[in-house]
Amino acid sequence: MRPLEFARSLQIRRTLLLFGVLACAIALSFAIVYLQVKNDLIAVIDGAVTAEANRIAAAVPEQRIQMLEERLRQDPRRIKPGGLFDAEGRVLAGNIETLPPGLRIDGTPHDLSIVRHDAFGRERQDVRAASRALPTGETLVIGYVDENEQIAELIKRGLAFGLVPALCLALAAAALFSMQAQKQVEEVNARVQRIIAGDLRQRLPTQGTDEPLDKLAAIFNGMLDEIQELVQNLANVGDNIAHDLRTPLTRVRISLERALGDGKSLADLQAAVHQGIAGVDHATSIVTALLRIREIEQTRRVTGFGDVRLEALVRAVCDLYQPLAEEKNIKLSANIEAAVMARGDRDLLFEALANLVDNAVKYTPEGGHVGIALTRPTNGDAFIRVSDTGPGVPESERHLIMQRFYRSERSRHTKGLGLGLSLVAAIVKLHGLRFSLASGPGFVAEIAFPSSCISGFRPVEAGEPSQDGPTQLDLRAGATNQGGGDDTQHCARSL
Amino acid sequence: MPRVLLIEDDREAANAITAELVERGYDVDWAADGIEGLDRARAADADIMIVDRLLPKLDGLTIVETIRQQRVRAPVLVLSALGAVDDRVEGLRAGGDDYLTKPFAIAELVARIEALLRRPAESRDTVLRVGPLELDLLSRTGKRGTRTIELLPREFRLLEYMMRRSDQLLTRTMLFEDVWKYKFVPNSNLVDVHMGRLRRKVDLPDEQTMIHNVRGEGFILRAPA
Repeated sequence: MRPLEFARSLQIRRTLLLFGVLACAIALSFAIVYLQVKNDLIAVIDGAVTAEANRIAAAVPEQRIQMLEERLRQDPRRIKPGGLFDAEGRVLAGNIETLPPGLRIDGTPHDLSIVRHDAFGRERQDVRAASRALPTGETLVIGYVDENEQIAELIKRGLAFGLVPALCLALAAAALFSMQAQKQVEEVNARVQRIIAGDLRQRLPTQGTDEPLDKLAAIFNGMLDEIQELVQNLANVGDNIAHDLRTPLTRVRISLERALGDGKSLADLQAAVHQGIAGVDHATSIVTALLRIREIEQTRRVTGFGDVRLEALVRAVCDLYQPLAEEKNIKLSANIEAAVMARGDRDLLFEALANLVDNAVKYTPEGGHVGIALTRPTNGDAFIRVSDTGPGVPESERHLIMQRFYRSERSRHTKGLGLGLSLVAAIVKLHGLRFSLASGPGFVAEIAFPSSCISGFRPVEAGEPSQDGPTQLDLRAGATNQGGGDDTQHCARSL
Repeated sequence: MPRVLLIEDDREAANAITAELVERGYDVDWAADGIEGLDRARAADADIMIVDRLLPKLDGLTIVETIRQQRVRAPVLVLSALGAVDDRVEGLRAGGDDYLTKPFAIAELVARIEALLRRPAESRDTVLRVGPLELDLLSRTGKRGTRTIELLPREFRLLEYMMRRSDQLLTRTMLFEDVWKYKFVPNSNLVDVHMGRLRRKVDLPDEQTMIHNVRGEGFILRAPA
């Protein structure tokens, strides 16, 4: 890191600012302490000099000199000068060299500059002093060195000795933090460069602390996980598209080639062409389904949502697939325990449910049973559950089957695009619903509608006449008024 | 002889479509780019127009919008490689009457052109009739000759749709889009199964066939000869 860069670094600037504020605060508090101490000290000194002057002045003249000298003797620090001067200003006793000029002789304390002169030497001293004119014509001066300046000096020195090293320490710490941060940023940068270069497995270093940078790294890593999965999925999808398109295209090619080589009759050629068209249709349907999934995944059409009557939806899907199920001798029944209104796109929800039922009918062997149930056990989530008596899906493969193109190995021989559940997953995600798969004896797919998605609800009693108006729900032509009386059986009635 | 204006820049596709339509007795006029297409469309002498969405020089939807503003009323079938629901809605909103996603079966294209040319008039009749077949829209009952046909609601709707379009080829996609009104492509088997149900009710084994299955293309309801 270059010095200039360092000086400009955010850490240093912040440290200096913080330090400046702290130093001001400390200096201010010291100043307050100083002023306080000064006032108190002066009051104490003033009291002392006044009392002393009064005491000596009150004594008999012969004792005054003695008392003064006693006072000087008890002052090893020589901070309590005193003097007794005669009317002409000559020194009678004490250690004050001359009667100071401008002395106000009124018995109250004043600031005074004197020259102390005794066996220890001669020294100018600033004192608080009380002076009294004695009845005998003499002048008594009692002083006490004003130590405030020294205290102020001490405080200044204290501040200097304290603050300067503190500033240095703070700057050093800031530099350290700054360098650490810089190092982290550089490390992040190095990793990010590798990620940009295409290595999506790279992750930012984290210590698992609450530090902002650490948290940021964790967030970033989460994002990378998602991106990596997406890219991985995309790559897989690309592979799968290639593979799944190759299969029908190969078949088309083979059948056309054979027709060209071995086609003896018009019937042979026509059969080959039909096979070819079927293969191309299959390839097209794969592309269409993929585009459809992408379209749904990219939709933000939540604004186009309306209230969808789930019981009507279930009946409509049941109605659509009833003949197909009967054709396979599969019993398809709807069990509607609640009338639920949910927010959503009716067409998309229908498509999702139709896909689930389509799958169920496809994978259930003849003589089996496919059930669609609409329930709302408590006043919480509502569920649409499609269950069948087919082979089910092993636990280990369940998360896979929602991926595009996946088809369980054991169902490869059954015709299908393997895209149905991906489509359902995309629609469910768009609606903010939950989709889960379970495998009991058969296969159970469940769409859960969280209560936040439910806009209306009414439990349905067994045998209650259906309230649904649209003809799609009616049982037979012209039976609009009769309605569908038996919710649980009407789908299976024609069996 | 109905005149078709085909605005399509893919020469091979245009040739195939033209050949098929000419064979079926249409008079086809082909424009290979948007500007030329718009000029010919404005002449307004075509009975129907087939417009590709992605065209050189001028976009297909702009052509449709422009001619609609100029009150050219001929039905327009929009062709596109864009198949999303939103693209379709956009195509119809621009003034198209139908929308077909590429790749399509040529039979599908022909069926849709015929459907557009022979759009059922908004008839006020409450009883539809095709040969011996009768459908009473008020009492919602069906009859073939004197025999009453019991119809489930979905079968009723399917038969009504077919009777309004008798002698026309109706493809599975058309049926699914128009009768069931769902925009997704179901298992292709699904429509056949429903149609099978209806057929068994309409055509008893000893009766002449009225619902014909055209292999790989769709279904036609025809009065017995």
